[in-house]
Amino acid sequence: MHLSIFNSDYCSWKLSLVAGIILALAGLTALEITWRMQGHIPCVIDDKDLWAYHRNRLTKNSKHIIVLSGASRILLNISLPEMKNLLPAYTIVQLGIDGTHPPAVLQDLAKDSGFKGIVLFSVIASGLEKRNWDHQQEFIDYYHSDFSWSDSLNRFMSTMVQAHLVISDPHVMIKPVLLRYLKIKKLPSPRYLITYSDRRKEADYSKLNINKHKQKRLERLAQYYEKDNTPLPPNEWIHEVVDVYSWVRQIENRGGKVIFLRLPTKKAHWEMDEKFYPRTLYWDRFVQKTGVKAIHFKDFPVLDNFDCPDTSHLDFKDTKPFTRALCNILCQHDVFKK
Amino acid sequence: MLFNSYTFILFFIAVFTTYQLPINWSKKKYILLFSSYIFYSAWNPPFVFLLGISTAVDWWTAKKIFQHRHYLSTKRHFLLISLLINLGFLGFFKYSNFLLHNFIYVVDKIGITFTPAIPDIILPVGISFYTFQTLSYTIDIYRGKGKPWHSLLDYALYVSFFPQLVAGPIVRAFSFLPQCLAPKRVSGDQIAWGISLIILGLFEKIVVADGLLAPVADTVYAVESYPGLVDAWCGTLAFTGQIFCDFAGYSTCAIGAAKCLGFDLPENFRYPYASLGFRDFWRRWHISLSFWLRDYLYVSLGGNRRGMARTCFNVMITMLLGGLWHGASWTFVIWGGVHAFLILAEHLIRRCIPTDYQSGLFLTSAAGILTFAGVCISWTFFRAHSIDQAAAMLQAMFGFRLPVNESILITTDRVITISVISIMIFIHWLLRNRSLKEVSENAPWWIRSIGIGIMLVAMATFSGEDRAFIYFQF
Repeated sequence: MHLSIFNSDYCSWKLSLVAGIILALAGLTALEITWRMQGHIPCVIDDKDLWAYHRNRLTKNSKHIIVLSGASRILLNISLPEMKNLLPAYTIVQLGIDGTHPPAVLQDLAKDSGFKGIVLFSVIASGLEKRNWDHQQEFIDYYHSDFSWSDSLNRFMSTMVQAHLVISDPHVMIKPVLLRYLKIKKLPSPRYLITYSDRRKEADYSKLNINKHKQKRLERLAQYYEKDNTPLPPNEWIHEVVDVYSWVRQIENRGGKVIFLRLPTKKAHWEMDEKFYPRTLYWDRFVQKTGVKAIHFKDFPVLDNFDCPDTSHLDFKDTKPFTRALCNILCQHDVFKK
Repeated sequence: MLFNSYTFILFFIAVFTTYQLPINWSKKKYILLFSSYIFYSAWNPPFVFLLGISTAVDWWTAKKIFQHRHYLSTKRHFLLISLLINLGFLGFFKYSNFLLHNFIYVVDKIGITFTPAIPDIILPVGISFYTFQTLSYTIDIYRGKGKPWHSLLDYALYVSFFPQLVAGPIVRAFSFLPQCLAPKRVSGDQIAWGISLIILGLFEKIVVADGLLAPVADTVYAVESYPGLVDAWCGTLAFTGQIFCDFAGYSTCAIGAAKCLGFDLPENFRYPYASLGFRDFWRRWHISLSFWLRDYLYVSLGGNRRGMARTCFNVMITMLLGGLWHGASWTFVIWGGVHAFLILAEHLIRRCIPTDYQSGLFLTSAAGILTFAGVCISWTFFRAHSIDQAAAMLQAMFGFRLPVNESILITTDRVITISVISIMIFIHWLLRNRSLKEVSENAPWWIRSIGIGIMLVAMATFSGEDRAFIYFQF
């Protein structure tokens, strides 16, 4: 077989390679500075690998673990650094997954005989229905069957890069930037939503046209309730969702705790939630029937008083005080000790 | 552990650094062997035992074959043991579910309902590659083309050498093993050349295959309804480019990594999209596999030594099994069959042309275009999820069906695809009878630097979904 193509006389390859690397570093540095001068900051890419990496952090048989499970509200509203400050004895692991209902994670933790920690389970009434149980299953299956030690190591290193370099953000990569520029003659604006290495997200709504954003969100919510997820009648609903309680019992029997959280929604969003899933017929009935520990934002003015600029999530400036307020309430309810 | 991952960079730096320590050659080979098993364990640790068993079985059977080389019947028995065990593993892990599904289908057609539990069998990464590699050793010894190697360490390293373990090139024992005899002295420039090859390979994979072409191919081949004629061709052309850059990129990385360690791996691609005819294509595409199939299957069946009818049969069997090697699906078998048909058709046409005939530019160009078109059309079977989808795509490509989605792709996607493929074909034709070495060494060092710099910047700043190398699934 030919070896000719790859047998080089190697003349000056060292020089070419070193010069090429220097050129590349210079180019990348220039790009990094350019993007930062335009207000961009690093953003970690949240994917199955990152979720699995954090899932892997759950230490077996430890009661000093707090798992945050839910969707975008638990990702955006809770400040993990603030929570760690308030609860230094605990390891806090963010397992929320944006845009999905979380029962699958609760079930996974219930099946994990080594898990004895605390689950802060942010969920809405419709999320407890059987048809929504498998939303997060893909992430769980990936963790259990495909996530290897080398994926974990790779994710650790790529997270470090993404947490420090703007140029690693897909938002500012060459192809989407060029395509966007060709279409609308504009470079991408800094992200309003940033993900950090601990998977928390922070939203800076001052970077958005908030009214337009709010309008789109409410339209999607109407579509969700009216077409995609029309509510079950309350009696049918309660029969279905009671099964979730068996997972709670499994965790509690091992010494763990599960606290159901209903995080704030505001104005038109809350009105729609109440129209389709009235609290008294759904949430309260579930809590009453099962006896689960539950915190509903409407029962605590200190939580209800926070504004949600997009009707559903806090601005990043409010996450620390909100986290403090929530932790105080949870401490008062003996969920954990500060 | 993908080549385009931080883990591999860390791994390679660790292996390379340890390899440079002032220790004896034997210890260096142990380092490479241990590292190769670590590399393989990154996918699924228990499967390193499978690799070990395969190594041990063929080491032992090869010795036995040589011991009984004068006794045809006995040496055949030992060859059979090697074939049964290696192909048995391959068959079990790769084809069990395929065979089961086909069995269920067939019995269902004759009125028997059979619904067994479908076992969840994980396919060990690279099994198709290292199985063929170890078999080439025992078969070569059976044929008297070499003696059993004296060092199990060398042989184990040959089977598991990490640059080519999971996706080739499929290396012949007697081109690799002699390289293990003497310690390697690798100069700074050789290492730089090896790293440059790795950069080139990753550029092909990350930027061209994943960043530019895969999104287009995925969009067209994801739809359930039929794309229009233009989009069907764009999607197929995109996949044509993607599979080349993905696979050739991997091979280039493998060759570069081996080069840094002082080993030479065989070339696996030689500008296949500048082929003149399908026989030429298979001398340029996945060269190590096509030569393996020729030497160990086609020749074993009799090659072209038993008349025209038998030659046709041998070509067909070789290509059908070659297709099946790629995956447990009828689409791959059909892909192999299409190539068999094209090779045989070319063979018949060539028999009608006088041997002293000098084809002009027009006929050469026509041959090149027809070859490329034939290869593209065959890729529809390779890429499609099912025979139905492949058939639908072909109908769309030839305008036989009305499209449901007239414009699946945006204009930019089409422009990108046509541009990238055109540049690729141009480069292939430019280099088809030359080497990358020639071209790159004729360029001033600063041109090479700019090229390397651009590739590195592109790799760092190109968006693309993190995709496994296509051939990992084989």
